[in-house]
Amino acid sequence: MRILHTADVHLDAAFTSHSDELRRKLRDASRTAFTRLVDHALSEQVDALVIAGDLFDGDRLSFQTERMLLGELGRLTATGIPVVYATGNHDPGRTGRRAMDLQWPEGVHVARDREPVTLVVQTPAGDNIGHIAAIGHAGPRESEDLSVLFPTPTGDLPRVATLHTQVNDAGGWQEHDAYAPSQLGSLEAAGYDYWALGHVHRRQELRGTPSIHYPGNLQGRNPSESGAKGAILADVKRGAAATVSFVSLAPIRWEDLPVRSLREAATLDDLVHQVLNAWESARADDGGDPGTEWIVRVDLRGATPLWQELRKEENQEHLRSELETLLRVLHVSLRVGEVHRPVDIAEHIQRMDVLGEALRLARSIRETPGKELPMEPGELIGIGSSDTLEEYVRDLLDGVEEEILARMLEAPGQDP
Amino acid sequence: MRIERVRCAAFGSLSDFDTGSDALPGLVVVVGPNEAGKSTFFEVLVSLLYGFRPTSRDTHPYAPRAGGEIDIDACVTLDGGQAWHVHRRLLTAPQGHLERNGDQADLKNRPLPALSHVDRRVFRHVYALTLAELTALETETWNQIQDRLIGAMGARDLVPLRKAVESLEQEAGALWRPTRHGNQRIREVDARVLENLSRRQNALERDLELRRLTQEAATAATDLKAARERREHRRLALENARRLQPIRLHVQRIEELEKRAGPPEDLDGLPSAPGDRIAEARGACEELETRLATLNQDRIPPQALVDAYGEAQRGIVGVRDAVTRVVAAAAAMEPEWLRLGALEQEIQDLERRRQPLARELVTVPASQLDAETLLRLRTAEVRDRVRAFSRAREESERLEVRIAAGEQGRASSAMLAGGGVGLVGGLGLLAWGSFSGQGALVVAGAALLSAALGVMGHWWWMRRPDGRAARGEGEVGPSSDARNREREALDSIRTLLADLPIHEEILRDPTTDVASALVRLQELTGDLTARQTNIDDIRSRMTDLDVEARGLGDRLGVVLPPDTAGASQALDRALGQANEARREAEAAERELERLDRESVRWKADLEGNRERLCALEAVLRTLADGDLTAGLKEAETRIEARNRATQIMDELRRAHPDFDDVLVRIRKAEESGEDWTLDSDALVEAATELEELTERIEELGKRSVTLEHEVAQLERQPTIDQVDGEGVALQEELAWLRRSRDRTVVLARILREADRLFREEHQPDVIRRAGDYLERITGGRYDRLSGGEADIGAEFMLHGPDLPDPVTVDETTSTGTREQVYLALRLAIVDHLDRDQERLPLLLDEVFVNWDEARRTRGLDLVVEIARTRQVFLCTCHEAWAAELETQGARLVRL
Repeated sequence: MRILHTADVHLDAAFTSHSDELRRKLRDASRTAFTRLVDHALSEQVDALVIAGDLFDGDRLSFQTERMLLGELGRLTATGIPVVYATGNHDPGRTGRRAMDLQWPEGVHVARDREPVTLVVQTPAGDNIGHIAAIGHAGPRESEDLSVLFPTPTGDLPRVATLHTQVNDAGGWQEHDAYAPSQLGSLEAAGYDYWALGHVHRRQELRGTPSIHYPGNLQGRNPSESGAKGAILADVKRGAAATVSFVSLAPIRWEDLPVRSLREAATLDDLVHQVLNAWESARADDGGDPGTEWIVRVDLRGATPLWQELRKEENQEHLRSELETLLRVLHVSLRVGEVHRPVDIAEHIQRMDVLGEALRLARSIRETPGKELPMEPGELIGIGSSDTLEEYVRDLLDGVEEEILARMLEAPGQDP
Repeated sequence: MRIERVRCAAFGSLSDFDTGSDALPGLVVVVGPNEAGKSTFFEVLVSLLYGFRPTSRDTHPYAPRAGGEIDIDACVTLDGGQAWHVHRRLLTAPQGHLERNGDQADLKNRPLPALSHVDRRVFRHVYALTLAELTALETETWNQIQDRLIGAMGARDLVPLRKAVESLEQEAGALWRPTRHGNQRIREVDARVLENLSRRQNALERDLELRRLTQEAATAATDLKAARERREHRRLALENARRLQPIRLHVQRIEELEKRAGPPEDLDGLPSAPGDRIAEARGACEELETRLATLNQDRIPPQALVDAYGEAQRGIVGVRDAVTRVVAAAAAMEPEWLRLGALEQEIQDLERRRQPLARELVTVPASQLDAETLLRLRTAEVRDRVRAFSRAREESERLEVRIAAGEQGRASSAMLAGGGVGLVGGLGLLAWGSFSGQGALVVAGAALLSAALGVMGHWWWMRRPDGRAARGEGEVGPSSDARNREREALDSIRTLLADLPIHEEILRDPTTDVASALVRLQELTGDLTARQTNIDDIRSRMTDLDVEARGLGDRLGVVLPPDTAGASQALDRALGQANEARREAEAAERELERLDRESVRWKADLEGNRERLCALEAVLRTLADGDLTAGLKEAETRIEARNRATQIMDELRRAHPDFDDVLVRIRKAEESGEDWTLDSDALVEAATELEELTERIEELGKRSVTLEHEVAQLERQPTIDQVDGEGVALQEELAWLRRSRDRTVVLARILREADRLFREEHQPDVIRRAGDYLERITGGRYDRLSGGEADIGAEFMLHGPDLPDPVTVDETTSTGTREQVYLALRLAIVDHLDRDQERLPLLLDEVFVNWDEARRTRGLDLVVEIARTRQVFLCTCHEAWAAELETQGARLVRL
């Protein structure tokens, strides 16, 4: 049985950007990726499309996206390819939620809650070739292990289980809220040949036999979701490892480009050259699909003689714009918060003056539990409801020594 | 620490500098004019204590311009009494060696081990106090000076803390402050967040409106479709009534006519006018029968010709090749018949010419002469042998004549003798004549000599063999041989002519004439024989031809005349007649064949016509129960109906090019059970409804377009997710700005707190010590210094026994007092920095210049006192001050 496994499409996700054009492109990219998914299912003549939750990002699914979604699924089911869709925490299936309200085309089998939905997959000739079971999230904060609710599989046909879950052993699980948490061992023991999972946005194989896969999300949404995004094409067999292959579908890719060792960059041109080298080096190993557009976050860190220039917004915009042109990408964002003057903190922290005192004080507060600045919570406006003043201040002091040096030391050249 | 001796091979402007072997005391006065090298000397001390910086000779500002290496050698005694010897050099890389207690240590470029409590920067900034620094106090606010002195402990590489804190607080305030005055970025973003929320609400409403409009558009589209279908329905009904109905009536008429015509298969095979076709067929049959009768009459003449060509003529024609050959041979023989007579005449002529010749040569008549023998005779050989015989006979006769002249040989001897005498005589006359000069004798001698030589030449010729032969000497034997040869030649001639009866007298003396006659006789005999042979051949062939002609005549029964030519002509005529009869018979046969073919065709036509007629009549009879006449009438009626139906159909098609489509619509309309018979009221009603429907459709179409336009407009507006994206971005920016603001606030607070802590720890001691120094310098006018403990910004205050209130140290304070306060603070800081540590040397460069006499004296006294516990290098260009200090134990070092 051949299935196309996707998850975390997050249609109508709010893409963070101040640029209308960029947000529009990212939204279109999600839709394009979904259209490509359906195209691929048709071209590969899969036996079923399996969607493991978070098909859309929330109940505020726009009318246009809703129309596109139902149209694309209708295009698929019209050819006889069924769709099995298990709701997730973003698109829960309880009555009143959008997943419940949508007029799904015939052939789309929606698992809306804990009640398992099982589809017997057939060939066009009517022969049974496998079973796909699915359990969905009824609400947005499912806290139970839903994997234990799947029926015990019987028979000789391959079995697929579809679930939006946080497997606690999965890589990157800390990045996601632990909804419907499950244990890898219980999935292995459940008797299914292929677990089509969703929720974790990083593509990964948790087990080969039985095959347990997260396909990752269909289109990256922010710099942390870099790399090729798409779906998994799986040939599922009974009692054996599935043959899986990744299908790249996202038209836009995110790239986090850290650039370190900035000491040698004496001019902005040098810095641009260094970023270009880092970009070319990254692309040498992973050039992306033809036609892929890129959104790149250039993360500049460390000591640089340009630390003062890089703090100026006009220089940042100039650098960003130039990199956008030179890298030939859709968008470049710059992160320069952690560049600092090329000084040795150890050299100054022992000073018998107020600078040494400030450095020692900052380090002491950051590293010594219980040591606090004489401040009132009301003096700080960004403190979260869940943070204590001490934690917040300690978080703020990350990298503050460099900042103290930058502000307290006279400009270079006057140093004896 | 005390520096007891410094040597410097080359360092900037200092060259071969040495403070001397005597250990430098606690107070060293460096005396020299401006730019003499006092700053350079201080750099020597810094490098000695802390190493070289920069570390490359090429970039070191004090590297000797004239070349050479920087080399510093010094003896140092620590506060504890330890004596160190320090040696530093700056080559391509810095080198440094420290000798203490007899141990050598590699310093490289590190500071001396005792200096860890004061780094290089602080030493440079704090332990060297210069006039320039004091001068700078005029341009610096006292708050900054205070910060630098207390907060930075004099270090000059720091931004004043007050300035740094103010900068941070300004930055934080630019982001957010409790009051709403002025621009605050966070509040601006807050406002945009609120605006975004409003836009989000608008987007939500747009989404709902979009759904409503789309639903309405779908309803409008459904209504439009229904109205169009209804209008189409009514339009068709009207069209049916107005246009299709007349056509339908024609179609119905056609259907009636086709019904009258009956099944088409009933009329299959029937012509369009069967009556005419019957009459036509009958007439054709009669005509064909007439033609066949005529044709039988036409066969008689050619048949007679065929019959006339009988067996006899067929026999002649059968051997026509033989007859033709005989006729041709007879024609070919005709010239030879004519030549036969000429040949016989020639034979007679030849015979007449041969007979006399035969009589001359042979002994028998010519007619008896064997022609073959004669013709075999080799006449050329006869001629050669006769010639040989003639030559032999002539030779024999010539030899016989010579023998007869043999006596003439003896006269030759006398000829020799006479020649000899003539020769001698001639020579003698020639000699005598020459000797005597008588020409006549010479001529005579020459003549005589010539004659003698001629006689002797003739003699010599006579003595040669041929000469002898000519004389017939020795030829008796040869004469006999010639006669033998003559006989042999004659015998060979006889042998050659032995088969011919040649006359004997000819054989005895054959001549060439005889040979010629024989040749002539042979030629005549040959010609005669050839002509006779020719005549025989002609006659033989004539006989053969005649025999063949007569054989043919007998065979064919043709009576032939007796001559061969006549027989041939008779045969030729008979063959011609037979050929003519044959040609006529063949032509007649072809005519008969043609007539037969005509007959067959006409008979077939006749048969066909009869069959069609029968068939037609049979069909017609079936239409009326066997009655041909009634059947004919029925057929004509049906055909007429069909033709009419076809005619109407053609007219319909011409009038309605889309007739097939129209017909389909008629059929569909009939199948749908539509009312075809709308009356006028119904027609008006239907037309009215049609107009209303059209208006409705137009209205709905416009509404649909409007809705589509509105939907498209709404779809171009930002969707919720797009607005949310901006909202999230704003929230992120807000969070980042808040964090940045808080971080800035925290940073400012850290600096303030650090300053407070530093002051708490260090300021009291420094202030106390500074107060002590100030009291010494001012002679007790100011006995205490205070201020700055609580926070930055607190000012220094001067206290004195004669002062009613403390005096603030600020820009209004006199320059001298400010400098004294400054010096007191610097000295206090120095004491504070190395308290309980190695006390480092202090450098004071013209710091007393602006002081009054009394305070300068007190200042110098203070220096002397300080020098007891801390080595002081006092730089000055004032010799008097130097001399005064020298009296107090100072060592002068001149630059």
